[in-house]
Amino acid sequence: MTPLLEAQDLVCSFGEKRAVDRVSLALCAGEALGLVGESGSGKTTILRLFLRLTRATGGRILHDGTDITHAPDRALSGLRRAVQAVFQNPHAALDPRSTVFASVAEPLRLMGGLPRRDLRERVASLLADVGLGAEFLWRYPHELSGGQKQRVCIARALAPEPRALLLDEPTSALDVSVQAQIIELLVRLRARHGLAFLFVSHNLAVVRLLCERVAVMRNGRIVEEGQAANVLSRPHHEYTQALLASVLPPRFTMETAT
Amino acid sequence: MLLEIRNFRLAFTGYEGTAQVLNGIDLCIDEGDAVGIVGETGCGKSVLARSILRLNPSPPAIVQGGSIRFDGRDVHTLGPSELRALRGAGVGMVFQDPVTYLNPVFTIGSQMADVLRAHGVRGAASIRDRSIELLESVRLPDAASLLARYPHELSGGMRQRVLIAQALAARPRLLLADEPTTALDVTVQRQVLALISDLVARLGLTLMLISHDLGVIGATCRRIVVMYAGTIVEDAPAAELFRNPRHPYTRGLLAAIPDLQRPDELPAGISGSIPSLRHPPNGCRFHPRCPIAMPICRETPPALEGDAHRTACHAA
Repeated sequence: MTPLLEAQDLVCSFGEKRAVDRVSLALCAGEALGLVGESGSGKTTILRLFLRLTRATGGRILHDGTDITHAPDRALSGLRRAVQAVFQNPHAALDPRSTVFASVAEPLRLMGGLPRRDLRERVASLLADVGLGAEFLWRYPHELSGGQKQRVCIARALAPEPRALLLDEPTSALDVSVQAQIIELLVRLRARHGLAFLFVSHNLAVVRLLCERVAVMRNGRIVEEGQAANVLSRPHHEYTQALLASVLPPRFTMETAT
Repeated sequence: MLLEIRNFRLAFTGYEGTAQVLNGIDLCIDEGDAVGIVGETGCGKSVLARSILRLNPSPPAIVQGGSIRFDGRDVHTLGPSELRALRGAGVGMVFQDPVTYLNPVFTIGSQMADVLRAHGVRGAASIRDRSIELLESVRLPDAASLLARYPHELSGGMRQRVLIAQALAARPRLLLADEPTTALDVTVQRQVLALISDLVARLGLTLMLISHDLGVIGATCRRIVVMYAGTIVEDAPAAELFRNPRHPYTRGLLAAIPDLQRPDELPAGISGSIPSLRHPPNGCRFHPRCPIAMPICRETPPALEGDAHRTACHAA
């Protein structure tokens, strides 16, 4: 099966720093792949390379088997439709001067094909999909909580009916009680729409909940990759072991530690 | 009793009205104890920490009542020089973001010297010796050469260690750490938490650690105080709180944490969102989101009751 997205020997250098160093990685239709590692390991850069927001300095990126590494922007409409992104900070990801309706309708307008009169209904149904009622249509971002903003960002990402969501730490800026709601939402949306996820996170417990496969990054390289159940319970690479040993389990106390 | 907070009430005023940020906080901390304050965004935990050092700018902050006593003295009656002594020599504070609390254009040595001079250390040699001693106490390797380095040459974990060293410069009795590891990677977080625990034990410090992360608090504190919307809802020894949480908010918080060991259990969120502090709900501030709310919860705020395990809930 041709992967939905594939990186072959991908390199991305910023000056002398190799942020991504010969990475090969594939995301197949419908699968959820977690990308973990500490800050600066190259997780976000890989996600941006897949989105063509950052240019690769070596290697290839394939979308549905087609090389898009250096494709001109006008040739990327297929990628833009099929692959959407949700970023870490929902407070910065929405235009403060646009209503929820305007933000979610924008990708629909850009793609065209939907009569104006149907736009409102479609946006309302996208909002319903992420658990927001029609009363949110005319609200501005400052009237929303962090969790509600992230739901709007997810609704906007779903607007073009993508096949994959690339999620960059989508719950890191949220409180745990809200994070739990977003995790539940992502699990439900993935099942309903048959989405593939590329899920970038430093939170191993969240990755374990959402992803079947996981790749561990360090210094721009993938040091370990495999089924999440295996990698996160019987890690082979010493870095993965160190990462797992650093996780503070729930209900952990000083007594447990000693 | 090192720290004694009694019915402390603080509000922020603004053109949109007054926000009741701390609504009758009662909290005592004994010398040598390690207490964690946990709560979500906007619950008032950082404002409470800053209140101890009178760091909340006024306006907009207004103290509406109650008292905060450190070592028997009400911090709101201190004069300028006594306040300077409280900040640093009484209480050392560590903040969340190690990047913004160091000046990028001065060396570590010069920023260590500033702190030491402010607390009365004189003479280049004594300042240098004490700086090295402090940096070594936070387990920074090659402390002497570190003095000539600039903040950008240090990793986030190293910078946080420098800030901890500065907080300890005047030999405080209380270490007040506000989200000290939130900006750090998990592997570094564990090292910094271990360092804090070690310093607390070695120097006989009292610890007050603020975090949104119950894991961080559990790993460093003997006692956990849970805050919600400007009130303390529960206060218990760590193991007791995890074993026997009484407040519905604490239970909700615990159920929301994803557990790596239980990959088949989806964490449960708490429905609704935090209330506006300008128009807080009547009665118990948690009642609109509470799964077991009763009629009385809508009318009367529950008192924080109990001895070793205090809970503010009509149903508990």
